[in-house]
Amino acid sequence: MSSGFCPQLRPDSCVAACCAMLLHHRRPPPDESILVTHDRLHASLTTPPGPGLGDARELIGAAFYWLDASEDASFTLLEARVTQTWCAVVVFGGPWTHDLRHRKLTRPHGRLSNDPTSAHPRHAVVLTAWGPTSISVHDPWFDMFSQPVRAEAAWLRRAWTGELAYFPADP
Amino acid sequence: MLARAIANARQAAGLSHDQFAALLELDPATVWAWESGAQPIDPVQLDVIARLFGLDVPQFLGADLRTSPSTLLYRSMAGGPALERFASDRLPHQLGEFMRCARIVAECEQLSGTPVASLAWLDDLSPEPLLAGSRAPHGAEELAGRVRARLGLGDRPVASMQGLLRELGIALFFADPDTLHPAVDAACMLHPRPAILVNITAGGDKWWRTRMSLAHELAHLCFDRDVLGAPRRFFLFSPAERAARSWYLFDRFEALEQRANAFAAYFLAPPVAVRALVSRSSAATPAALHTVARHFGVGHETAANILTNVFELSDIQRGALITAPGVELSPAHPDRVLQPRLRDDDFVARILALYRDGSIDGIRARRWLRLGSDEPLPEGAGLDDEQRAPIVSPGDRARQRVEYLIHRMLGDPTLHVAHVETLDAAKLRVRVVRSRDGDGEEIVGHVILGTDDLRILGATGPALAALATA
Repeated sequence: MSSGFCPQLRPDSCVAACCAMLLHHRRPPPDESILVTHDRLHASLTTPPGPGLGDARELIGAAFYWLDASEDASFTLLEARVTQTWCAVVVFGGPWTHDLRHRKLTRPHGRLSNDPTSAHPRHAVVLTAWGPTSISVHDPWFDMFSQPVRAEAAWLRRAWTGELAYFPADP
Repeated sequence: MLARAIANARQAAGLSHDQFAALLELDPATVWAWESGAQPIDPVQLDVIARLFGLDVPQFLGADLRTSPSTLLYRSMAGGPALERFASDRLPHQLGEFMRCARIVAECEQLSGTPVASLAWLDDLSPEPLLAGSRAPHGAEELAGRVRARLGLGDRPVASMQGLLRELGIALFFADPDTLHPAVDAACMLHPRPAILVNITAGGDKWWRTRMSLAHELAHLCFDRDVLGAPRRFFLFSPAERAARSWYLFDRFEALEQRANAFAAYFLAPPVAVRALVSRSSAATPAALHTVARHFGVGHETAANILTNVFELSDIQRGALITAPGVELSPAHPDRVLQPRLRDDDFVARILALYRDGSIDGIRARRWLRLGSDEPLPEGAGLDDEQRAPIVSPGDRARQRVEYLIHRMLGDPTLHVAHVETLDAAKLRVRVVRSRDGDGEEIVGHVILGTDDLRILGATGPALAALATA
């Protein structure tokens, strides 16, 4: 179990769950604007269809980038960001699920993907720490007792779409 | 934000937009655009910027650059003509790569539990500023004797400079003129660990030159640490002898170079030992020259200079020694350099061992070895084929590339990559679909890419036509 984790309530609300996690990690001052943000998030968590990670800007005011994930330099930049703060990223569901296949994780919404070669569906997760041999991930597809999911950087290197959202540590 | 990080780095180094752009070989307008946020910074360019400071990207974004070693060096050059020369020779990139490698060695030591080199021996040798009005050789003989005494060398010849410096905890790196401009002979740094780089400009067989360069840099590490204002962050390069006059890094830089040159000769061939080896009456003979060169492991010209200084020979006598038949030194010597490259076999083996032991992952191992994630790791450390295999396949990269191009060029959030298939050894085909709310997806076309370079070779379907121009 991990602090700051938020499960997704619907099969297509991973982005909203990730935004909630980023917001929780940021611990913003409790003013009125945060209530508006919470309303938006609540709608995203409960009303289909789910948002894309690019909507994180509008939903919670986070910075959003789409990098060319085929370049190793983009992945290095992602590591640099995660070293500074939590980051939400989008992964190709097939490869991501394939690499997690040996984990005993509880999936409230069933299997994310059955085809290891398929890019479908896109799925958002939050990267919370980056170590020399593993990455700590909050994956809202799994229940809170499965968190944080320990992932290998190699898995993320294969599965990352290049999408990245975070609150800059020094806005 | 990246824009702020770049502006902070530039300002910390005391560089104007024009100077910073020159180091990066870019138009100054590009630097302005990055810093103002008008143009996003490509991650590949960010890596190049980080290298200018001897860092990788995660370190660059988290570092306080005001006191970083390369920042101090840039600041010393920013007001003079040396910076332009420095930039035109691509030295910032080449020396930055040296600093990166030294940092990697330090990280490897931390991860493997090896204590990072102690500098206790160095702390016993306080920096020695050049006295006002001092003349060459600026007390180099006394300084060389002090270091010899501290290291317990007595008057013995140094069997191996490489072995001695490694025992002192100094990491040694070698380059050749293909990777380090010949305007630079060597460089040295202290933070995060002591390291020396030597440019093997005359070939690894000429080990006596390497010994001189190593001893020269030892002088800088011992006595010149405060010239840039932060002794612990010391980083300096030594121009090739003939180029020294054209550089201005700080006041009396040329004198420091002279002192380090003289130190190297006195350190390798202590005058007391030279007098014991050669009689005054025979000092001006080729036989004495050959004896000194062989005994102390120095080159022809250095041996001639040592005899001249120790026995106060005349210019004519020195000239005769210089033009005497060349000293033949065997190429077999512990200071011979077989692999003049930053990432030599020892460096590679160190990283592969950490990967094998599970201390680092394959991503980090490749980054430190400057390999792509689509390349296999080199053989070694008992790694099997599976451990060495590439992390990403051409299909993985094609999927990522097309997904990015769809976003950047088409901007349609409903379009996504589905499957990737191999057409032949040179081509991949990527299927692109449009997702329909709650109603599955439809195929909108295919993109054909080159397997090796991910170049778009063609696109089918009207929705993807624009990608064919990528």
